[in-house]
Amino acid sequence: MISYNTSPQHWIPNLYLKITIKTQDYSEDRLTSILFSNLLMATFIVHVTIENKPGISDPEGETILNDLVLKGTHKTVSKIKTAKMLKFTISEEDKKTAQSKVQEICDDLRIYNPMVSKVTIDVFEN
Amino acid sequence: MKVGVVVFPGSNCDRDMYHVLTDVFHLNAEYYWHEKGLPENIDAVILPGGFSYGDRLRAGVIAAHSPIIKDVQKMAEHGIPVLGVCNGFQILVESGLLPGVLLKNKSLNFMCEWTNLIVENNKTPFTNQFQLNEKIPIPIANGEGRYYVDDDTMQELKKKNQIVFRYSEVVNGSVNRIAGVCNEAGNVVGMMPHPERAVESDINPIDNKPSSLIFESLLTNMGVSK
Repeated sequence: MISYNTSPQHWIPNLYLKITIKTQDYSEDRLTSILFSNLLMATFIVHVTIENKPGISDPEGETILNDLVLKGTHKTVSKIKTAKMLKFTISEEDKKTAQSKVQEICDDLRIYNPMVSKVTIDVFEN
Repeated sequence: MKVGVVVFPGSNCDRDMYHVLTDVFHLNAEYYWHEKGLPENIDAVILPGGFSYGDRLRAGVIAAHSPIIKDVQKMAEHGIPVLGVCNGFQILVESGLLPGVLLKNKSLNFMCEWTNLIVENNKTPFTNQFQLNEKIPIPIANGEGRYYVDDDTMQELKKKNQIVFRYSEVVNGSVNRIAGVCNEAGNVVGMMPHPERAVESDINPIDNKPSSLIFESLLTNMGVSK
């Protein structure tokens, strides 16, 4: 184990960083990139919308439409679909990486069931 | 001969299942907490009903990532009988051990009522004492029990005889009135109705014998004399 104590005050003032990494796992280039990427991370808010695929019935949406909206005076509405939204806060290098990382999490952990649901991922800068 | 009853945070039919296995069918049963592994000397595994993790995100999906599921998967691959009841069925589906998905009931209601099942496959470790098309009066108690598979998977299920139980009439909007399915090998069975609530005459006003055959099938599979 080795501790890196850096105070890169020549480019970011008043920053003191202490990171402990198992150096045997990484090359020197990789270590440098880890140190810098931690500094360069940005926070993103990622909205994951989970909804039924077309063709899968959505009885809740149908009830809201038929028994609430269309029973009132709002006759121009033709469809309502319910969905579940998860909001992730994630630190990644850029917007694209944040999107692909969240997609990967959703796929790996079955956040949505691919047989009946689809996800839409929208990334916002924090 | 030992049957493992897996307990997740939120399981609530684990004790009913244990009671039926030990007091009614005189089997050796043991509870296994989901964070621990299963020992190698288990002869059957049952995932009981309940509300693991409060059905958060989707019924069964969080429990499907529990450490014990890896052991259940290994045992399933070795041909050991695995039964998932209600939430146990949802967990088996979410962990990929069984095909399909369990959606909210068409009525969006939690349904607690007696239904009739029809046995469609009598070759599994939990149905080998039934005649084909035999009827089982049995209760359901679920909010997310509407079985669904896409058309291609349905063709596969039919071809490989993976439909184990169907409701005798439309109950909750399940595709083809499916109430229970098995894996290709037939040793992993999932069902929404609760056999552990139907095997004793004291609590079954209709007929407790058909449900008892589910457990007697397991005894036969395990080579235990009645």
